[in-house]
Amino acid sequence: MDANEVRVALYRSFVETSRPPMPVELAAKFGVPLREIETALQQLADADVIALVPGTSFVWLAHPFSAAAAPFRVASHDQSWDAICIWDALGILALVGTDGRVETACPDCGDRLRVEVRGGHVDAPEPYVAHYGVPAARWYEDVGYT
Amino acid sequence: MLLFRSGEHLARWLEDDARPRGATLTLDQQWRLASEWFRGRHLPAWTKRSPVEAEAIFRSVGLSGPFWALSDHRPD
Repeated sequence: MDANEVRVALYRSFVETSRPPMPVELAAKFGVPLREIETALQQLADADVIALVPGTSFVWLAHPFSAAAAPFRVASHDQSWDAICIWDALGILALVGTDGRVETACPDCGDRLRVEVRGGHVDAPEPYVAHYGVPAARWYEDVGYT
Repeated sequence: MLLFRSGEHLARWLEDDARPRGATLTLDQQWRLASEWFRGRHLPAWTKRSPVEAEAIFRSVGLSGPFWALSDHRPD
């Protein structure tokens, strides 16, 4: 078992169940001690491939997926996910390869925003704008804020 | 990486708290960026992109300039 196998298992779980496996579940899946899984998860986090809940080995983010409730709700016809930003939200639909929708609220007025993805095309009722406040070179200084 | 109802809503939000303006994308740009960026992310063969590769993806959807620069910030 290596860190990449753990990464693939994480993503498979998010795609199929909308949540990450707990470290103990990964240990059982791979038949290894828990500490080996925790080491692999920390390696992935150190490489900015995933983000862990601070002080734990629990997965918080495996972009584009969020394990925690987040401002962007993503839904296909039979499943839903959470995402921390519009890039991740649309990324979920692209990665899973499904039509669906993204819902969030405008940070200025609070109105509900709804984006549809159908047949590989994106659509919205108004000219929504995505804003990136942090330059690309600084994105991983605080991935949650970015 | 927030989504606003329009450019006017973004401008008002920035002005309300004197936030600096960063970069803006149309929804179509954002979709194309997300689609390319996360392609294959869940597959065993995926590897983390180099700064040069990331910049090429940004340019492919019309994003270039200092805001999107990565390769100058990390030594090979």
